[in-house]
Amino acid sequence: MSQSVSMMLVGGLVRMLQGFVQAAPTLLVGLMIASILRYYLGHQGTRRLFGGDSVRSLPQSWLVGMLLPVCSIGVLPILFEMRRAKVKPGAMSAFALSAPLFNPLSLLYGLTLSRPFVIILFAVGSLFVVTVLGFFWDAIAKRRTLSVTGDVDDLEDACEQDHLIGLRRVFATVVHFSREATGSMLGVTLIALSGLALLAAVLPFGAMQHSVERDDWWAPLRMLVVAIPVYATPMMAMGQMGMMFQHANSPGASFALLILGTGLNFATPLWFGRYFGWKAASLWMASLLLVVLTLAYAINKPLVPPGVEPAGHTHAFDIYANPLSAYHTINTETVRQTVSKDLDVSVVASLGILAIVVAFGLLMRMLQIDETWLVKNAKAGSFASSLKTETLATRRGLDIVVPRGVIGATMLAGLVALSVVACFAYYPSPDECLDEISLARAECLSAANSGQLDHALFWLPVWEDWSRRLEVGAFIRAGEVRPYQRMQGYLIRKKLELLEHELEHDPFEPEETKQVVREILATNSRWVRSFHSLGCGD
Amino acid sequence: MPKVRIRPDQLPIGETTNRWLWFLAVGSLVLAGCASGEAQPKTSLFEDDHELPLHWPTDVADISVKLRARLSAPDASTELLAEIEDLVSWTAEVAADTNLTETDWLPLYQASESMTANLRNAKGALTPENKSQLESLCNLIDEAAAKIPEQLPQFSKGES
Repeated sequence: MSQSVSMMLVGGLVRMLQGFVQAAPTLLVGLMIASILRYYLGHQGTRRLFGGDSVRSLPQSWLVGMLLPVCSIGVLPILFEMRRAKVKPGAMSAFALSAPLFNPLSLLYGLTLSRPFVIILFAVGSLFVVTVLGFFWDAIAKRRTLSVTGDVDDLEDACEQDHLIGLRRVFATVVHFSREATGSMLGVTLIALSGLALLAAVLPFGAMQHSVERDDWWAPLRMLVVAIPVYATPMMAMGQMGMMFQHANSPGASFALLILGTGLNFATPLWFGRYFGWKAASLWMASLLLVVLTLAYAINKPLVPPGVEPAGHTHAFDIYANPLSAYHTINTETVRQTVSKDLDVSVVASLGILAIVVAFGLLMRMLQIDETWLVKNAKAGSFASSLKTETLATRRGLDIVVPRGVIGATMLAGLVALSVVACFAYYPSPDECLDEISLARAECLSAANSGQLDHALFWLPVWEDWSRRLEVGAFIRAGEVRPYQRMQGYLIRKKLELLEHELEHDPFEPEETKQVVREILATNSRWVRSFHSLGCGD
Repeated sequence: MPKVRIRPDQLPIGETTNRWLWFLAVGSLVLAGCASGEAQPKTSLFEDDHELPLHWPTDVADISVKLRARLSAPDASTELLAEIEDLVSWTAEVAADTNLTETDWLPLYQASESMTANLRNAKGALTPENKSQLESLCNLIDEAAAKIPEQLPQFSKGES
């Protein structure tokens, strides 16, 4: 299938806007973590967080990456600070790749998608990849004799220098956070998202639906090529993997998508190239592709869940192809509607916060308020180390200056704890999920029966999303999702997909659609009661 | 929905002055080997999706009928063995798509899981043990099919 140039351009624009919308929450988190590293953990604390020079630096960086909720764009400002703190290049590589792959939210989601061991296997696979790459990157860095030793001396000096404390440090953090949001990070974000535009231009609507079948020998290689320009948030990647498992697509292709699509974007290799040299970055990239491809083919055995009849296609990668088909009218309204489909509460809130942060950052830039200004205008009492020499009364009892590393570590631990708490908010109790499902079901099925296709197609993915949240919500509260519940969930999603196909038939076939709706209602009754009888919230 | 072709100069979004976008698009075209042209007319975006295999069972009882027919075939061809494996692996899904209660569904699920694993371990060969286990599975399916109620039992809470 071919597509017109106008379709390529508008499709690319839509994909970039969708990518930006999806990136907003994790980009904010990434900027916040970068500021915490800079002002609270400092150079030494940051190096310690990522394992310093010890052998455990690679797995430790992988683990830190697994816990922090950032995406492959949000990880870039953190990499800036890691480089500033002279963290080992291998650890930076490990963190850069692993942080976007998993976070507590996406890991929990992933555990309910297929057999849990598959996701655990993927996580272990990612550890293997980042360890191999990390060793390789460290070896390159050694050969290129990066001036780590000299810089460490500088660091030690820097640690002896004055640094801000109290509210002034909080203000410095906010200033840095907001200025970064308006600086080079915007350009980096655009580069990262340009990969999505390129894919939309190259891949016509629905072009990837039959490209990664389980018996297709080329599927992992094909996915490897497509995944390089892909930008995907951890949750999006998990959702796609869920669809791939549901359709029994190639596991090797899933793995390639997870590591390359989620782990990096167009800006990641460019970032490494800029700071470590293009030759070294090319070698790093080539090694990454080789390791991922080898592992992808090693695990590329059919993975068909019991009782599942694969559909022979998947919509998991529709998101990377052009969103516009020949049936779409190309105008601003189409762009607006397509992009606004992705706007949920968390995204809208994040975009709002990002807008405020950017406005504040621009104001700070206009007023020329930055780190240097803050240090220059600080009084002696604003500096932690100056307290030692000041002629102030001796601090007693609990009146102490808490080391900034302690505050920084507490903040990061708080962030991790917050993301664990967020799991319970994002995946509510089964009763709450069932209430939401009841609403989505009523909207979707009544619209489908009455031929309001757009309305039905809007609520259908909402229902599907809540079906996943229901399972995760039950899992984190009851400790399990029973096989019967899992099977009913599978059936409801399978039938929802059938309904989606019926709704997209041209011309619309009302009788066939009503038949699918009747079948969905029957399955829905069994599915809903299986969770009610669980006892959650009853 | 009728297909609308729009010339580039009719595009409403930023296409008139940004020539570099055109260069980018042309570059993408060259790279991808795509060319602008008419889309093929089609009646559905998903024309060939979700076609059921010929041996897909019509209901739970049909699974045992189909399994027994294949077990009693004089020559167990590779295709036949693959169909047996399919039928066993579909048992849980087909049974779950009925009003069979969870309590009655669970033994079927466990038996089909175990049978699927054994068939895969046997790598296509139908061992006497597997044959015997398949017979037991057929009996279990028959028993379960007889238990399927016409309607779901009364359930008071939360269903709409």
